[in-house]
Amino acid sequence: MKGKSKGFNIKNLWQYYAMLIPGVILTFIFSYIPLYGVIIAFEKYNVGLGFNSPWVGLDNFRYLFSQPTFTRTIWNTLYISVWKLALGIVVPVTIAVLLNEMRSEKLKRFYQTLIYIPNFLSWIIMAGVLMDILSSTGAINTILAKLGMGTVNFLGDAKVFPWTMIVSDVWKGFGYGTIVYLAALTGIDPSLYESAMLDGATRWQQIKNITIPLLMPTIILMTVLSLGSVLNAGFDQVYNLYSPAVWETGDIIDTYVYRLGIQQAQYSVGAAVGLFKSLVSAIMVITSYRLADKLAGYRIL
Amino acid sequence: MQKTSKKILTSALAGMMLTGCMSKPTSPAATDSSRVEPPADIWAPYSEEVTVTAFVPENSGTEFQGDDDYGNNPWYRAYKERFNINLQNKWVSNDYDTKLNLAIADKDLADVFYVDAARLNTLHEAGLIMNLEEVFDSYASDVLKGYRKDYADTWETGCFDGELYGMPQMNYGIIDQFQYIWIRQDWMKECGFEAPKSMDDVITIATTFAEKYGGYALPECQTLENLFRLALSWGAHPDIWVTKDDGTIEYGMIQPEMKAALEQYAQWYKDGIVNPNFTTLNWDKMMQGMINGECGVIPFAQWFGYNPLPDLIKNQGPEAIFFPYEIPTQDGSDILGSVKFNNEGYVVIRKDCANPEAIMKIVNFYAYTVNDAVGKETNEYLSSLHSFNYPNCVRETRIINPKNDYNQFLQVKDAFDRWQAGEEVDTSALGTNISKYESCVNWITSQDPNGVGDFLQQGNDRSAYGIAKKYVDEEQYVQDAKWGPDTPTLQSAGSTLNDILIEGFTKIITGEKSIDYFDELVEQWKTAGGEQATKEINDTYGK
Amino acid sequence: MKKKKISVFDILLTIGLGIICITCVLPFIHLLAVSFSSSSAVAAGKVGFLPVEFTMASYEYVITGGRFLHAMGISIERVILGTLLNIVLMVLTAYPLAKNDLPGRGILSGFFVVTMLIGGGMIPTYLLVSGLGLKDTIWALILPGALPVYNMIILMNFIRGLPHELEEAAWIDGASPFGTLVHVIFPLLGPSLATVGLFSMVGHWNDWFAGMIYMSEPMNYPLQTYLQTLLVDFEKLLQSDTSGNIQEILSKMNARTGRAAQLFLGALPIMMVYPFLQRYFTKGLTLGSVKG
Repeated sequence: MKGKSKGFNIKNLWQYYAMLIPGVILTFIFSYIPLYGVIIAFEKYNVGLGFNSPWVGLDNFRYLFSQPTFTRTIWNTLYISVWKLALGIVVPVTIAVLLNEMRSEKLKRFYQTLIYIPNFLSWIIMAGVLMDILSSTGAINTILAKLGMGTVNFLGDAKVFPWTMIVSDVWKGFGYGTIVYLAALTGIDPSLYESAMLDGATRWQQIKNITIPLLMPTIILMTVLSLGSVLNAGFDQVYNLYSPAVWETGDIIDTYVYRLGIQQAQYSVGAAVGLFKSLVSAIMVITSYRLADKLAGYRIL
Repeated sequence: MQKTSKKILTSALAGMMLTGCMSKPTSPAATDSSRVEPPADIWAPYSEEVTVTAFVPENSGTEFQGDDDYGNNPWYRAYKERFNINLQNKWVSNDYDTKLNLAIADKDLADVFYVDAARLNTLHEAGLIMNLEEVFDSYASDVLKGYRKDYADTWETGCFDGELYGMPQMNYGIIDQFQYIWIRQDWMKECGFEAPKSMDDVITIATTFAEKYGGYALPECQTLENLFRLALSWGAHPDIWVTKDDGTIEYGMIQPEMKAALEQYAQWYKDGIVNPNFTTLNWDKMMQGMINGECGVIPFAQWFGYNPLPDLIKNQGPEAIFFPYEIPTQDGSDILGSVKFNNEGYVVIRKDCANPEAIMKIVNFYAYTVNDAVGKETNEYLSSLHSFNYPNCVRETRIINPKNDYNQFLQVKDAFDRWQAGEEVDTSALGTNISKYESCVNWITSQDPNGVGDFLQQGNDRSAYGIAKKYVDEEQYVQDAKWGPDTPTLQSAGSTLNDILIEGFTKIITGEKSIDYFDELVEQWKTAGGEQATKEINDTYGK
Repeated sequence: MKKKKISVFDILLTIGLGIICITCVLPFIHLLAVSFSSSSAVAAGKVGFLPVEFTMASYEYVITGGRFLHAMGISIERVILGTLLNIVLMVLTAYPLAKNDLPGRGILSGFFVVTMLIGGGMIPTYLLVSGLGLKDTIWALILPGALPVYNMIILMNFIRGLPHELEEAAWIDGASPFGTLVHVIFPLLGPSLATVGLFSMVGHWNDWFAGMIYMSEPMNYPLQTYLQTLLVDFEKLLQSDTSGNIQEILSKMNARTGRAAQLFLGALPIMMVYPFLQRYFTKGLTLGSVKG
């Protein structure tokens, strides 16, 4: 093992492949075999006839896209979800870096526990709480009114509603991302900071020159992974909080498809939507992966 | 460190192997599907035990008396004792639709289960359910055959090419379906109001309450359900399909009467009569306002006394009781309610079921207990079948008598009136209706909030069913022209067709759009599939 | 090691993050209050951060069902088995894939990534699990998600961040890849395994859907499936006549208080485990200590 190592043990190369066998087999069985199910997107699926239901080609897609209000749900979905993705990266990274700067190890640990708490709350239960907090007489509007800023109709104003979704979702979920970034931060060699301090670097310089660059691979990884769900703007959240008054800007693909009655027996349309979303996700992930590789030299997948 | 991690890994793997084998499949064993010749008398027991299986669409966490559960209860014991039938549940789940779809896909069906109209079609198309003509003909009781004759139009919806595949479970009666204006009594007395005779009276009462007691005059929520109830006053029937003078069928929500109602409603919103925050309120939040005493008038169905009134009384005191009133019409004529086609589901039998007669016996037995059993069985026995949660045990096999609630009302009201007059009441004659009567009595004697629902539905002199009885007796209603399940376009649209209208109506009410937008909406609705749906409805249900 | 003086920045940091933390905790406290309040107070929107008309009815309803402890036992079994299997498979898969120059790596990682983007849907998966005879066994809850690809990729990137020198030293000492993984890499994975392990645990613990579709026998329900069953059509339960004791309980609760109680009963065990895992999250991994 002299000179430039290839990063793996040439002599026992087979062992690396042996390690992959269980994962490959289980993934093949439970993720690849059921893939034949996507054909129901091209069928008029009858659950009794199973996968031999009548073939209808692209009719399910045509039906969906011919619905007058379906296209607006795509735009709404993209708007809400892109902002959620962006803030869903920025906020946890910021919080993780700030937590990392805290002096008291105990307090840091305590804070970290608290910010993970909202992850335990399902949207169905959070929706009731948010409706109270955000109502015209709720806590937030009371504060705004006291500050002389007037009241905001967070859930009923079509202009505001998407942002209510974005902010509340980021608030509810940032604890998850923060944990990932904190775990990545533990991997940073403390001697880097020590030598930086000896060089007289300020804390901001340390963050800028050491912490952020070392977090970059994780940030890019999380970005690419989350792009895979760019057409999921959060069904549970929106469904429990929206109302006809804000469908204009708040109705997303998943809520619309739900109202189409996928609950009943319309698996075909559901599968068509799923396939459409898969296609978009694949394009997003592959493109962003390539970009990360080319521009920044990160091979994350 | 390294050693421990290794140890954990190995012991974990070993542990997994062990426990995996230990978790036993405790679901009932595969059905014994051998054919047993049924006795000639439809009420007689089998000579040897017959096992049939069922899917139960209920909450498996429900508590019963003693050790009873969904597999062992008075009903199932009766099947065993009277007919030598062992009914076994393949599963019990209140996520029924999902479980049922999976079972159908897996071709792992029970002998008997219930389905909705869409799945009845699916199963028939796939050839998975039995043609019931023969077994119905030979083994259905006279009561069931009477149902089929008396409610032929409903039973028709369970047939394909005139042959019966799904027995409709029907409903408890159209007496349930009417709408009222509920008014808070203590305020009404204080202000000295009489029963409203016109919509203006209703608004006067409502606005006076709002001025005097705070809050707003009329509640509403994002589904606009109160608007749709009040629309009856204008002769609109937004929930149903109506037959026009020329005999064609059109959707009630897009008629000129609805436009008139909507116009007035938008004006009320502008005048601050309708709760200004309604657009974001869901049902719970709307009711939160009622419970807090923000409002004393609400258009609502007959079950206001069950929910939210008990909570309202617990917060505001028993004087805050609401009474139901008829919705006054615009021209002072008699109000016409809307009556929808209502069917709980269809009882179907698996194609390969070896003993379909056994299932007919089970279905007969329920009909027997609600029709001819009084007098033949002890009241204790009948109430053991019909009290507590036990009626849930027959959810998939019961066929309901559509006169049920009407007859119940007559009995309960009569008994309660006699009790109030101080007469002796023979409660045992009430059979399965005894708990309704007792609730009414409890409300009067101890003002138990849990009794107020029954009291306002049936017992009170001004009760919901008391008003509805007149509607039923004098046929004071418009029957849905779509007297059956949805047609394909409606099925595939889910709620999205209605949603177009509700979204647009909301804009009209809040003043974002003028009333002229109504016509534009109707066009939108038509192009989105409404036109096609109308055509289908006319083809299927038109004369 | 760290002996720096407290600056204004530190104070602002502590306060600022503290405020954020408070916003995370307040709804939780509110829901705790809701779970101990009577339904009529909750329906009227009177409950803030303290219970109104204190009652344990919602908890009684959930616990007196008798199956609560049994269901919890199944959940615990599932969490232990499922999380261990997840971790074993994630480590075994992530380690080779972390080797950038391993021949065929691109195809192999593509093989896994595809499953994140497209799925066959519920029905074919169900038919598969049923066909394999896994229904009504705990494996139906564990095997279909045995390798969580998303978390595996996160772990793979953690492994990549580890210093190569240690591995190479082990190879010189004659260690095989397996040996290196077990003796060198695995011990270094503490914080990252705690992270993905927590996600696995929470995932297994909270999942009610798999239990609902794969179990015919309610005795085999894990806790969340059981709780879901109790509350999903709760309003209907309130309408029907119930026996004396339960009627008393039901009259004091509603779907909202029930769901709040469900939340706390469901989240409690995870919250108890959390502090133990957490030691790893923030434990700075110092190279010196490993080498020593």
